[in-house]
Amino acid sequence: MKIMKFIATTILAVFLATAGYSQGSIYTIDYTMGFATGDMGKYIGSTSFRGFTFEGRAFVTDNVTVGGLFSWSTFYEEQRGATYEQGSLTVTGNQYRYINAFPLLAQAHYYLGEDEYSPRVYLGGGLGAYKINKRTEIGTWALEERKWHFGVSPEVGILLPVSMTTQFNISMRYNYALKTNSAPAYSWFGLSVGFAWGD
Amino acid sequence: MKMKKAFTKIGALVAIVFALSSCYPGGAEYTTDTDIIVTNYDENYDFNSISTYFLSDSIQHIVEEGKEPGTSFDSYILSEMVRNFDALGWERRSDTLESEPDVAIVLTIAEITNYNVYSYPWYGGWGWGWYWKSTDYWGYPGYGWGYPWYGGTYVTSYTTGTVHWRLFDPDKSDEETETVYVEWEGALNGLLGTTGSTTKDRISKGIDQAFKQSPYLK
Repeated sequence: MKIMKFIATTILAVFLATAGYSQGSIYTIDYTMGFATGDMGKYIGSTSFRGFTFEGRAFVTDNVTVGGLFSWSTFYEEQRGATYEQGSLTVTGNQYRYINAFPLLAQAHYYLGEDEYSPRVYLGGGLGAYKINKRTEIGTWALEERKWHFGVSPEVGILLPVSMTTQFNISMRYNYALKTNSAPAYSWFGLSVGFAWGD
Repeated sequence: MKMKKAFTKIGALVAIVFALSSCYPGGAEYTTDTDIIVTNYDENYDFNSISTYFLSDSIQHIVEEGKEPGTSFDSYILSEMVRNFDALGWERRSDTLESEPDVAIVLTIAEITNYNVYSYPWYGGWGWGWYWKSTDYWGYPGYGWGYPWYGGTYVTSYTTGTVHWRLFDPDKSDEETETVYVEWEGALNGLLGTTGSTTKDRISKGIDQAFKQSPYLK
């Protein structure tokens, strides 16, 4: 837990430092949809339409940026009359399942092409902390699990210029939060659409 | 500079919209959405050996001091239990003085805020119909309940309006420790906390589900 908080703090510091750059920087705000996969997809199969992503990136060469990301996605699914079994215990009731995922990542991206006024595809990824809050409500009861995970996040995206300093940003990111001693792994795709500003 | 201002404004807007949309959307809307049916059983008990049962005609009501118990659904609950036990092919024994049934079932309705199933020992008002062993008292006065699934996953506490039942085998009661071991347990959590026109329907569905999710009874 202490290590994860240290990682989160470090990434936040990188993010803030990047955001402080006044030259050769990109900031993005995206609306993010989530598509759970693996065991997380079995728990909540519904698409998440609640999410956003903030990013700050600073150019260290003409084609490479480093920076930080903060994102928030809410996954929700209702299961009516679902039966839950554990050992000899069986519980039936409507289940309301929630996952709130908060990636806080250090990132690096590589941009194809040289012309910043043309569409630019980028490849990259992030590394850092994932805070995952999982909550299952059954009737009037609730089971809640709040854990920090270490995770990785490869990404592909494109920046489409709309003015000298503003661009559309579209990206697809795969999030993988590794399992911990007491919590399973979580994985999902995030489709982000938004704006990027450079100065 | 203009872009930074726009960035800040849009960022704030996105944050506000997202915050207002809540990180826990949806959830229960109606009373019926909160109905929970719980069952638990002794994995080492042979339910196939059961062919007769005794179901007490009285239900224990746990109420706040000075309050009258609400008994309007008692007979309906009992009739729904009988319907389901009969469907298992078990024969109900009403006069236990003549022959001892294989198992007995006793019911409790909790009308208190937090009903802890471990806090209430044998209830003298269950209208017990046979003598315990060779002693001269009826039922198991002072006896506590033993739960074979203790140490696994179980529920200890329920909300107001819970219908709770325990099935036990009289031959397995422990005189030394004064314990009656529960072989099967069921609860409709909070179902009678609020009552309305659909209450009977919820009772029927709840009891039916309790039997359905307990296939080991067959």
